[in-house]
Amino acid sequence: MTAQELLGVLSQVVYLGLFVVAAIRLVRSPSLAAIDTCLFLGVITAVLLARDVAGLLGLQDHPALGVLTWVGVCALPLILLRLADDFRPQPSGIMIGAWGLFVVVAAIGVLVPQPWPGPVRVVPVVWVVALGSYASWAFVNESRTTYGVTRRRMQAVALGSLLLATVLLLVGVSIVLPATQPAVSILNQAAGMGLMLAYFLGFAPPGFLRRAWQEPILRRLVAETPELIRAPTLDEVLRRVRERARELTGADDALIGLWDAARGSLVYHLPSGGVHHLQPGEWIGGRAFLTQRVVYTGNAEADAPEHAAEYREAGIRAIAAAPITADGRRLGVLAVYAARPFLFTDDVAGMTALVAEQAATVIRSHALGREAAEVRALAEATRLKQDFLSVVAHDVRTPLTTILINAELLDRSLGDHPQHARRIASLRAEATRLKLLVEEYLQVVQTAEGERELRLEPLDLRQLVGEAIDGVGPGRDRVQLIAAEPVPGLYDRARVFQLVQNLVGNALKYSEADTPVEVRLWAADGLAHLSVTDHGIGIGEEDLRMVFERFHRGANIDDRRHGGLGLGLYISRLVAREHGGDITVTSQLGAGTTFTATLARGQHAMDAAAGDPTRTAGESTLEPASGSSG
Amino acid sequence: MNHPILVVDDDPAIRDAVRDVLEMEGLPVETAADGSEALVKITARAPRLVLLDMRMPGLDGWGFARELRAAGIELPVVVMTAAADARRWAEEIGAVAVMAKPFGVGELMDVVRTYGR
Repeated sequence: MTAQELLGVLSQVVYLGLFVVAAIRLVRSPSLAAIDTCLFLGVITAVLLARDVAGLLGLQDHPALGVLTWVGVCALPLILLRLADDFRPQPSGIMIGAWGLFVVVAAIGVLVPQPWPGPVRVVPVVWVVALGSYASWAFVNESRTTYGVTRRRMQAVALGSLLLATVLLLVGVSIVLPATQPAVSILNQAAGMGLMLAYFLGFAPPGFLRRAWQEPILRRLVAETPELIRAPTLDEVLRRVRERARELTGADDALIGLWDAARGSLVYHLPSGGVHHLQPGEWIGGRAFLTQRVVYTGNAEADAPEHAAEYREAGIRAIAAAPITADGRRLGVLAVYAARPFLFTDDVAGMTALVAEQAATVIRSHALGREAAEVRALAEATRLKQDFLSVVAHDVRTPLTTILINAELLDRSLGDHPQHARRIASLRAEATRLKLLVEEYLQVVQTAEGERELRLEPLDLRQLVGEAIDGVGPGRDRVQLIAAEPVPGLYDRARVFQLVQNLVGNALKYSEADTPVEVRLWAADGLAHLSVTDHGIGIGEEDLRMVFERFHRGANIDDRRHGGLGLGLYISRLVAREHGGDITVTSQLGAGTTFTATLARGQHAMDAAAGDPTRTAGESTLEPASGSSG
Repeated sequence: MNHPILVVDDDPAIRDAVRDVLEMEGLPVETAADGSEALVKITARAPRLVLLDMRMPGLDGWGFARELRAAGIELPVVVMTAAADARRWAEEIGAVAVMAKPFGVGELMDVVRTYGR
């Protein structure tokens, strides 16, 4: 076998392989482009194999063989033109003209008896060179509007077509000028090899080449991601992603559906301004979301018959949809669509997946950025609110001093006066109440600002609770302290006073004057337990969950009878927690309520105090004046 | 003992209220609206105790304490303020105690009895 023969067999094998690949693709996802690709490679293979097959059958001199070769060769540039037309419609005049001329040229081959005279032989050569060149030009032209793998593949097909035209041109030259045949033969061999390689790369590029061709696009997507993330709004992000998807896939348009977990649907913001809701699994896009795979169809009407009418109306035929998923979090789906099937469907599907991946990163980062900004804004608003509350409370404190002192002075000088005594008492009581409210308020604000400090000292809790109960004022005689033994530990005296007086004060306030209030104190599990039980109005189930929240007030509380800010229990819980414990409540409407506070008796407190050795020193000198104000 | 108690506060209502309480208890009282006026009063007649507001227009509590130290005068000072930072401020100027506003007659008299000899 000579080298030339070997090359001949090799090219036959390659074309046969390409044809098989194209045929498999055609069966898997039929489309006009797939038909044309298969036809093109099939015709080349048939022309190349025809003579050998005929030789095997002893028909190498049959005139039908000549006609078949003639018609096949003449059909090649026409099919190429159809492929270019599949990618982007060519002017209809050119398409009709090409078909008309093909019929004429083919007819010449069929009608003129063989062997064909020289001038007749030139006809198909001229035809193939002319139309093949035009088709190549059309491919090169269209490839400029594409990116990545598609662009390279179209360029390869264009080069192959040009080489095909060259091969036939050389054949024509050798017919007209037989003297040039040896040189032409060598050139033809080279062109034939190039042609084969070009079509191979164009119609069935190997994976590594695809990846290499795709890399610049990947790079570009990665490079522009930070800028996309900085887009001011999510709408802007989506708009740019859609634009990129359309550009890179050559689709007519792209749509993004975002997953709305609350509604359980994919939400599409249509270019028209409308909003479209879609269930996972519904339409092509919903299927990509549900299966988390790239879904492609070259015939949406057939593949999603339940929505055939809508697709037909919208003029959508080909769709590639890819899930937008970041770190396993399903964010949505990206779908590109076109009125005609894509030339290289696998490229479009791959590109859609790439852009969807970028979209996932961008959407996720954008959302995170926005969340961070919201958290910052919230923190700032909270800080402003705390500052404001703090300033207001302090501004109230100064005039309150004047009112308190003057009310007391009035009481001293006119307290015995029958006409004024009641008013002065009321003035003093209200001023004192206002003072307590402001203090409660400030404690809450300071706690939120982290300004509240614990001042612990070794104390017997039983004695402390007894003193606190003694200080509750009217109703003291209803309160019964049940404590078997001392409960020594480290406690903040003022805070524990506040805790006991809040709980006991509430118990007295929300129960009838003839019912007892029981305060129990015991030690267990290293904790001090303090419970306060009343037999009063109780707390409704709804309120029970909210009872320790700031500014919460029970539904069954008569505001005129029992004024308050709703901070008492919130502060009580703070005190318990500051002491390493907590507070719980059980209650029954109309039967009564029990609050139980736990306090860690020392270890927790000592751990907390260990960090601040200067505290006790400052305390001893400054204690007497403010400590007694609560 | 004829040393007065010096009340320094820019709020006249506070000055008057505190003066009334102290005078009712038979204690001599001087008042000043800011640090500068307080220094003048001190030079004229040494007080036994200074009740000092911190935030005042003119010479404030810190300025007053600084001048006092510069002049080598040693006096018990009780800080009288509505601010949350009362304790820190008191430590800063070396005050003997803090009287947080709002305070009542009882707290005022406790402080005066403890630190006013």
